[in-house]
Amino acid sequence: MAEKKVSAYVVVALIIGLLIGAVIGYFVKPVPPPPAELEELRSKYEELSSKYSELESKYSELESKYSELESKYSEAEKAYGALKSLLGTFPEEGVIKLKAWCGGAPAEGYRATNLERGVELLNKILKSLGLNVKVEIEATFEHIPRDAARSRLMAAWEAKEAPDIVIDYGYSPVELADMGWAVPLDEYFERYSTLFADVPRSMWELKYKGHIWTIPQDAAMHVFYFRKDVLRKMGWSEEEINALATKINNGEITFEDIMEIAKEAMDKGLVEWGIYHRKGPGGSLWIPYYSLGGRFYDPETGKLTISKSKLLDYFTLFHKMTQVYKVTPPTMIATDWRKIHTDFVNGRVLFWMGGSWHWGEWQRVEYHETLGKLTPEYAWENIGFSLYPATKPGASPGAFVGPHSYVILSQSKYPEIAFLVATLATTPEFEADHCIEGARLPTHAGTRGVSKFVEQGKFLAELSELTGKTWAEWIPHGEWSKLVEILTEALTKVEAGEISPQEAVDLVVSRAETEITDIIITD
Amino acid sequence: MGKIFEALTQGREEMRKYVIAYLFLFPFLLTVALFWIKPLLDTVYLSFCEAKYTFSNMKFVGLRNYEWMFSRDVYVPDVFKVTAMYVGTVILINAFYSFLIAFITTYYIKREVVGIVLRMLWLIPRILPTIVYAILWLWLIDPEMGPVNLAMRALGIKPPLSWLIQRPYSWILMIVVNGFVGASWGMIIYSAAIKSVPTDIINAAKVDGATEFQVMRHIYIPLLKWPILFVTAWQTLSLLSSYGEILAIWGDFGTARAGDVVTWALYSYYKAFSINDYGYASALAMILVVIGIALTLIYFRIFGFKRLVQPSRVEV
Amino acid sequence: MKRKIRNLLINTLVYSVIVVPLAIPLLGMAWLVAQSFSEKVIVGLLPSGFTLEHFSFLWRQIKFGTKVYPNIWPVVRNSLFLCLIMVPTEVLISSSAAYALSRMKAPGRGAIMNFIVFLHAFPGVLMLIALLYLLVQMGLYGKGVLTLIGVALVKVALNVPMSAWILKGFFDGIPWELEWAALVDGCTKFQVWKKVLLPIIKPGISAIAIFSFMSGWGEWLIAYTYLRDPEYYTFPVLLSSLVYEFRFVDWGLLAAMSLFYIIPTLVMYALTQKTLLKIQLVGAVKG
Repeated sequence: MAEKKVSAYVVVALIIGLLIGAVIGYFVKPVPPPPAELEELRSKYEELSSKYSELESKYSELESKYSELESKYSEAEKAYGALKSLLGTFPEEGVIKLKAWCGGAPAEGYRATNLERGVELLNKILKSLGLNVKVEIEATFEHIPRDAARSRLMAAWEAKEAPDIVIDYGYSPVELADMGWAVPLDEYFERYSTLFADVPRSMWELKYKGHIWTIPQDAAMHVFYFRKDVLRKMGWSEEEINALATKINNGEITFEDIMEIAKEAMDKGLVEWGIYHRKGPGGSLWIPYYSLGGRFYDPETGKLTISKSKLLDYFTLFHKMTQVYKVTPPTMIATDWRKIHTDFVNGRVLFWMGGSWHWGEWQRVEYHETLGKLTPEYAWENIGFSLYPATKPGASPGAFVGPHSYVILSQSKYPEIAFLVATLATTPEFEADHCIEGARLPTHAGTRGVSKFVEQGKFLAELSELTGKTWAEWIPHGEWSKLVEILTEALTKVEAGEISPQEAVDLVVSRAETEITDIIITD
Repeated sequence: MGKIFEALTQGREEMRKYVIAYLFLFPFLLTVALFWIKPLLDTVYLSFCEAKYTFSNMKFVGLRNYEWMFSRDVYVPDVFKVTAMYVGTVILINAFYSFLIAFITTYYIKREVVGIVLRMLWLIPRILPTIVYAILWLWLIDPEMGPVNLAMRALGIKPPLSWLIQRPYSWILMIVVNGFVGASWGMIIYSAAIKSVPTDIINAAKVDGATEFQVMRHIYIPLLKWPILFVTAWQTLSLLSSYGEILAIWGDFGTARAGDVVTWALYSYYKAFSINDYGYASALAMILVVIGIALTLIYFRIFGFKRLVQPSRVEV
Repeated sequence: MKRKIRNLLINTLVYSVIVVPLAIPLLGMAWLVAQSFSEKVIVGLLPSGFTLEHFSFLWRQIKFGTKVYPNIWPVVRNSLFLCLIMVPTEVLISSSAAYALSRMKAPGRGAIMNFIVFLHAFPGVLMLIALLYLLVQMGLYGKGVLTLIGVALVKVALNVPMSAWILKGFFDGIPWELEWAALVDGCTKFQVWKKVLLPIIKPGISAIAIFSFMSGWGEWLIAYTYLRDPEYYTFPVLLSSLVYEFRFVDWGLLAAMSLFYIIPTLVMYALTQKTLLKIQLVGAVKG
């Protein structure tokens, strides 16, 4: 045992000794160069000396050039500084990341895609300015129920991870402004006013509490649809069918007549239901009230308004639709979208109080039981459209036109960049894609000239001619959502046949008096 | 850490034992403090605050939420009525119909296997995840595909346009849906109790010529009066505060409101998570919290700790 | 003869009292199975055309109307993750508390036991708002994985009173001599707990573990309320988002997914019948 240990030590010592020796040898053996090489080295040294003096002179040349550039640079730096303050705080170089959440009807995916295109455009601009900054955006579009959108946004806000840009995402711009989540955009609009030269003021100069909060993305117009194929089966001639839209638009045919026609169709067994309207609450439901000359907001006083007599006529219409003529199911206001679209697209309903975007939606989503997505030919052949009929003789036909807009959220670190991106997203070429796909009206007048729009935008072109008879949907009042709740409640009960129109009016008035502070109630 | 442990445990023998016990209890107590006590206190505080959309800017406003609740909220009377109807009706199923189920499967049906199988089947609505249970019901009541409407049409009864929205169908649905889930709990308690009744009493009665019905009426019901009382009491509290099934089937506030199935607990939930009015929702929840605490204390009084823990005990 | 008929009638009546209503949930379950394999939407119960198409969500993207969900497997992973956090946490907390409650005569023990029963009776779901507030304060809300952890913790906290109580029952059943022997051998209380007692009450622990797992797998309400990021949805939350997708209903897909989802639940239910009943007996509010 001990021997083995000793021999092990010896071996180890030897190895270590060898290593040390090798190391020493490596360092301690300079071999002097033979004399011939020494000469070579000397000449090389002379070469290098002369080269060195060459470089020395070049260096002083460069030095002077450098100081020239330095002064130019400080000039550019001043301009850059101005540009920098113009564009807000962003890094000298690097990547700016933006997040955008877009909601809307199923065929509106371009809201997100156009933001991406806007970012591409902005990057090109920044690059040509010589800035080493790149913008990236994560823009998602999803079609989810309002409640889900609201809670998702709320969760992100609480976690301090809210997106920079939102559109139609659960909360209205007025709500976002009230909550302090939206950024006031007045100064940006002033700075970039040229970009909005061909956008009507009514689309972007929408003030709430003295500020602008929205960047228009498109204009939604409500449209009254009817099934031409059903009318044909009722014995209508092509001329009569084509004249229907015109007669509705000039007030000759009112809702009274429509209900009669609907009843006839139902009696003949051609349709399951005569008239459908949307699930509450929602903008198109208030159109018959506006048709009577009623308004919910008074811009002069800045207060909400309701008129008892007009509300009576308004509720009477729905009462007639569901209880008297029985052309609308009494559960209409709570009917889900799936049923509404499937029924109308498959011809089971004669009239539909909808919006322009449904025209696009029917062609992108498979609602039809045999055809799936509708073709434009089918749509033009079988579906007609017009303004909403006058609620009663003497009232005005019409529709709401309102912009749907991007809002910049206050948790954003780069609000001005977000603003630019949102603005660039509606560049006419991009916007044309969105308008055709989603059947919504453009914000820029220039979009109407884009070739794609000219070729495929017949529907929108016809609608644009009717915009003269429309009303604005913008109600910049914090208590509007409360009034909506009250009106929806009353409408639900009227349709279900639980209360009469007069009782509905009383209900609305009494609740408005208790729950809303800033309202004028007239007779 | 170890030193602290040593120091703490090196004292008197008794002290040591206490400290060790509490060390073992520590995770549990921490959990309870954090997830039960604190939220309870927070609920109280929030109910006196205005907190909308976010918690970061809650403002103390005193009794304003309660004032609104009791004088100006238009929905409260309806919610109250629906809750009263809901609890009052479903309790009949959960406390009394469940007794029938237990009695029949445990006593009446002589073959034990059949009884066990039937009880297992009755547990199914309870063990199914809420959302799947909701999907099944949504299909059952579907206007086009659902067997309920099909059966109604076959029988010549006109089915409603929508079970979710039209009263009284929505109420019937609400009651039935919760009844299926709630019945099995009472069934379990009663089953255990019934099984523990000694058979000599039953045999004696049978010899005396009693029918099954009389056996039930004169033997089992009196013997099980404490379990029955217990189940009724417990289920009352449970019904006041449960809303999961209704939420799963009806979904959003609009639909539930249209069908008038918004119970108090559900109303509080919607106010919090749909409308994001956390302050007011907490005030609504507080009403139930207060009732819950009061009822639980009363139960402690009436039943005593022992029976609360062994509800199916039968005293012969 | 008359008597026999009369008995038969009474029998039928009695049976139907509890069997007829049972038909409804059973019908629903039968539909679930039939619809998942049926090509077209079935009216009533008769499937038409056998297909495995609806189960394609297992290997493909889920297309639902205009929405495309990526794979189902991340969602399964999320659900499993939830369970994986819940089970050890719940077992740990309840087994340590149960030991203390069962063995040690510390002051306040009676109060704590009363308190546990109290927590039992008290409906925890009323405090979802304040629990949300707690999660926000703890930084566990709205942040992807952390939210899942937050949901797990809330669920554990709601389950723990009952699991502690049940395990206490198990601990109570172990004779004191065993412990005494180990203590004499020089173990600390902690070692006794860990090495001697826990193995003995393994059936109790596994019951709690299984129950915890099922509770997490099937948890819908809390997950639905707190989880907002689709990437971190658990299975039931995904199912509900498909249901509330208000423009489209693909019954076949829904049925197939539901079937896939409840298979573990049903299997575990069948395997743990006895313990489940025992748990329910201690007065648990639904779930």
